[in-house]
Amino acid sequence: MLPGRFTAMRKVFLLFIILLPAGSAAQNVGPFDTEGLRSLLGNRSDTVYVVNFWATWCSPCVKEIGYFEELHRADNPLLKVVLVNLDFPNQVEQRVQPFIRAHDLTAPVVNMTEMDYNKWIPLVDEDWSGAIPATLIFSAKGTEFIGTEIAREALFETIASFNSK
Amino acid sequence: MKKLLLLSVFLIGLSVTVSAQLAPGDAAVPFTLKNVDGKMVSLSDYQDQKGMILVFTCNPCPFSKAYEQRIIQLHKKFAASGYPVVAINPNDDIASPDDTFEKMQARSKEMNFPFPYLKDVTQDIYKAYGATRTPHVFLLDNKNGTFRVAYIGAIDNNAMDERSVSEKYVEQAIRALEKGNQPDPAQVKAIGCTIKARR
Repeated sequence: MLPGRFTAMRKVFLLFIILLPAGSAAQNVGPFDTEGLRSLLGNRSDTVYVVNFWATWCSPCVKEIGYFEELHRADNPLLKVVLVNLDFPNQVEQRVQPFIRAHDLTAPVVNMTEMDYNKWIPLVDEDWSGAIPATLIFSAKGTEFIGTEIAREALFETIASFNSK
Repeated sequence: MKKLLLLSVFLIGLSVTVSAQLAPGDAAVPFTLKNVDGKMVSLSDYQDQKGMILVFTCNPCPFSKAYEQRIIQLHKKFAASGYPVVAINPNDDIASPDDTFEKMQARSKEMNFPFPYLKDVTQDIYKAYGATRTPHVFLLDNKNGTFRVAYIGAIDNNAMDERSVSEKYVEQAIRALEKGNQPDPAQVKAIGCTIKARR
């Protein structure tokens, strides 16, 4: 009788610790616009900003999103990751929030609400077509724009090169 | 003079390699592609039209979906006055399994497309035009039997919400042509998904 109850309790306890982090960690995606982008890009300090543009419907974006999450989880005080989501704002509840939960993303995600993309695309890079994935890395020391998919090693090396600049 | 010549040869070479995209004013590239009804459709079939709204688009891209109704409306609005829509799906079947010919047929039927929806099987046509996005519009102007590119780019300036559109680029371009003017802007960056090339 006792061992049975113990097992049941342990199961409930295990279930509790499995569900708790996933349930409570799901962040709320905030709206983002041209002004928000302008102010983000104005942060020129020792901190290296890694800004990734992505969408849930973009499969190469989804493939590499884990690298950015990994960077964020490294908890480096001089590194900030921002994931700029380009799903339509009316898809945030249906698609983006469930994606964040499913991938357990803790890196901050914002959703671009300025739908006239030509207003903000040139702020990121003059020559960017708006194709995603795209990643902008910058600090006071410089700017690196990657308008394509990026391999994990290449991403980490590019960031490391900022630290040694 | 010789230096200048060399420089211009260099610059021409550069512009060809950097951007293969057609520019406003360029002659349109002829095409003959299979429509969802099984028949072949050619640019030359449209000789008696004033122009053509050529749209590279596809089935699954959220931007293409968001614009489907607006592309239908463009056709309904302008086909009668000589600017019909012709849609071309440029995506590779393997890279984008939702863009097979059968799925194009299904989508065309479901949405009741009043215009041809052609498959760029070899992917030569989208490359010749330099299309990169879905949707990506090339508005063609028929000048004495020669189709020329009059406008390239986005349909309007709000993909998600038609009611928030403040610039109807394609409509404005057609109205300019109708008045005998060149569209201004003649080019606006197209916003959408990347075209899926064969790997």
